[in-house]
Amino acid sequence: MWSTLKRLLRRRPPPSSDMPRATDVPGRDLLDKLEHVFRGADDVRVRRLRLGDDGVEAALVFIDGLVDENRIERALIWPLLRWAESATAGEVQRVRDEAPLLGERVFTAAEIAPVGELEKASAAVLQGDVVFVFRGENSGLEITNRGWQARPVEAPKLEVTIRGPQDAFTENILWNTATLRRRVRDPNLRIEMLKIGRRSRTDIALVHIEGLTPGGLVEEIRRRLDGIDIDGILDTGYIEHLIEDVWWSPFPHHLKTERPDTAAAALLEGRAVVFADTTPFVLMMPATLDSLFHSPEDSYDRWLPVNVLRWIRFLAALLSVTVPALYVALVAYHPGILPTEFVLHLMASREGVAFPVIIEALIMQLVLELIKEAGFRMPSPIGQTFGIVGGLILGEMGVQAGLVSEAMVIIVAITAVSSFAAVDREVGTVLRLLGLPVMMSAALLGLYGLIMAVLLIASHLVILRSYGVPYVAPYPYYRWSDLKDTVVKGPLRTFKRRPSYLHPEDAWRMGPLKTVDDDDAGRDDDAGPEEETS
Amino acid sequence: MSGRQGNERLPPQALTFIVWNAISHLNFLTAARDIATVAGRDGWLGTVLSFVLIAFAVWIPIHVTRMFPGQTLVEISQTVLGRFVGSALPLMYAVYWMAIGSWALLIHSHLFMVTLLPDTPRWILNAYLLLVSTYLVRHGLEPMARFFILAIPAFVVPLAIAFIVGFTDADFGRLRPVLADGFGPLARGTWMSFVQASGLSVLWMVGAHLTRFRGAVRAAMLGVAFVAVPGILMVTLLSARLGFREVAAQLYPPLVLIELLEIPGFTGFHINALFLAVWLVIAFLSVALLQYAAASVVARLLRLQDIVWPVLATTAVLLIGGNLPISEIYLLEWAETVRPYSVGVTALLVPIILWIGASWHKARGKKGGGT
Repeated sequence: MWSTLKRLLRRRPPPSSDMPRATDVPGRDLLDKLEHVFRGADDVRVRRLRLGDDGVEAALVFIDGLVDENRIERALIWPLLRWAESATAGEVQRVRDEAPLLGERVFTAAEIAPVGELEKASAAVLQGDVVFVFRGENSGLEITNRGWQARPVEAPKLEVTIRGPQDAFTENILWNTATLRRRVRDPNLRIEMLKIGRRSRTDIALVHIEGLTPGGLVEEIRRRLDGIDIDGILDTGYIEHLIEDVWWSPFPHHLKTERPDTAAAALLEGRAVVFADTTPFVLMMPATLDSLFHSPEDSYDRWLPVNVLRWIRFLAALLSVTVPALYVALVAYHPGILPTEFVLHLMASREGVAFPVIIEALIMQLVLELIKEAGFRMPSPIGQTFGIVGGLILGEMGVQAGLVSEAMVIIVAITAVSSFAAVDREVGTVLRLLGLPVMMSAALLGLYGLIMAVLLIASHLVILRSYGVPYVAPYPYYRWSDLKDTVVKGPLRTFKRRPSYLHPEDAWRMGPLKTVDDDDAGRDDDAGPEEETS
Repeated sequence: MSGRQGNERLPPQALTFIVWNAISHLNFLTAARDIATVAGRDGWLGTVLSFVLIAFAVWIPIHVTRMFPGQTLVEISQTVLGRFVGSALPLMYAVYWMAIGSWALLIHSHLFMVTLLPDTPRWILNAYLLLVSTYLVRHGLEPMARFFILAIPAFVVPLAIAFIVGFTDADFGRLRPVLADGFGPLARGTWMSFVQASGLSVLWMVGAHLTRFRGAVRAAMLGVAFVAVPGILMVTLLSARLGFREVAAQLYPPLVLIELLEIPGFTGFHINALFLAVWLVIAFLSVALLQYAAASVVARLLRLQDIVWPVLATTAVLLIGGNLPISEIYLLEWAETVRPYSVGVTALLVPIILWIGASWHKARGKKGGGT
């Protein structure tokens, strides 16, 4: 029995790498082996060539659609054949023995490297490079020639702003990192490329600024990324879920953005950024609860109105969690707290409602989620119309049918609008859904239940850490200077230090500010001695 | 990673909020009545003087733990008093903390059963509170300290409202003549005010977690001031607004101030339910801190690496203690009769003995060439 249990409980060893090993693949040379590895793959092209008078066989191996075929023609085939026309048999034999010579003297491609193993050669083909091999040889050349169709740079879809840059990341990781480098032209900007995913072999970039991002943070991210063993990474969401601190927490442990300016700002604060190929969304870490409510526009607009908008965002977050619960608690348990006239109106509106207030609230929440979900799945023009019409009709019909009261429609509308005011879409959803258990708690114990549920959420928030940084930073016992960018936002000129809770290696972000008065004073000072001299 | 703090490492600034929580407890509901009962119209003066004593009582554990870095009451008392007595003493403190934790649970559940949830069984209220506090406490002291800071509005807002109400129509002439009945009531009022700080001794379990002691005393005194200012204001305003006899006659005098609050459309009597709901946060934090201290003693006595099991054990004890069939009158009598002695022993007498013992131990160590 023990042995059966042990067998059942024994972990299956993780499958080894699925890349082909040279020793396992039949074939007399690299070309044969590549053809064997890619047998049945109709998109893999083998362009055969005959060089010199002896007709030495060579081939270019690539995947149709991942390469720029015009460039192959211009930079590889045409120069090679032109050279071969005039080359002697000895010269052909020499480049066959020393293939890198072709890269130095014939091919005009920008990036060429020798490749000697089947694993590397097949990986190069799969990532959109071209492999050049001679028949009979076990090595060749890897020529970078990626040229797949890509979406052009467009405006951000989720993080829309009126002011500020209007470009977003795309699905091309190299383009994305280049966009970031365009904004942060610091030679210390480090972009570490990794490959994650046994089958997808997705390119991942860990980006940080050396001398600014804490070394410990970078090491920790690297350690967590190295620990991922999965068949494929199709979005940064996969990475996020696999490396977060508390996997069961509803709150996100990473900041996400599709905006290069937001990623650059995170780097300049001392955070690290992780890109994945084939997705425009990047991860920024560590995250704090507070930073999830900051919009990129906050840094571009005047600081006074920005403060009001931030307060509204935080208030909206609070409302989306507590409003339905407060309504349930007040109506079901403590109507006496409310003004008498209002209570009378409220009770009158509930007159024909068949269900207790909690069922009423649950029905409306369900309807809200249905409309929201269906609206998202529909094409955008129909989705918007559906949302408005569905909300109006279902609300109106619900009231007339005695399913819900008018007050409940208003309460759910406030909840929905509040949750959509969140900058981070995921946080908005989390807050709205957290409102459900809070509401259940209030339905069981009134205001007591509401407060205890909120205390439970607050307890969860204070124990959370993102990469060692308390999730509720910077509120408790950090520098006063850190509080300048929280619920309140100070003017940019006061942001002399980077946030200390991120432990940046370079604490100062701003030198002494030279004001107009200083300039005038300087001019006077300069003028002084001249006048004296004159 | 760099700068990462464990959940048991505290910056000295956190001490301000732990001291605040350890002293304030549930006292803003009941202290004014207790003080007015024994001190009469000199209660406010007694409250002022009591905070000198409280500041001294706060200073002792910080000073002694500074002499034994990284050690709590358990290790310090074992060093100073020997293994047997030194183990019994922390255990006595753990029992005491459980007792006042249970008292807090009984009072808070009584309050809610009277005002908001008359038909709800007491154990449900206590079990819910303990469920949340257990979740918080098992993650260590540092998240708790962070929570205390976030809970400050729950402390400040109801008090600010009460003060605004208290100031309107306050007759400060009711506080005169000062010392009309001699020094006796003043002394009794001072002592009664001091013993309200029943959770003060938990500081013996906190000092060991400080990352540094520089600034610790200043932070602790700030915590004392954070309670002293509203505490003195509350006692003074209640006496000035209601008169000390009325204050002594009320079960929870600050609620009377809230009942007097007038907002168009609302009446204060109804709003006090909201006030109590906010006050629940303070009760929760008090119980959590006491639970942490008791669980920490058990974990250290048994040399456990993890605090989880002791926390669960204290939860069970508090659940039983908080549901004992004790009448509220007896609870309040207990506060008046037993607390002056228990707090005197745990917050002053034993700490002074430990301080003297620790100083002697250190002096002997130096003479002997030890550390």
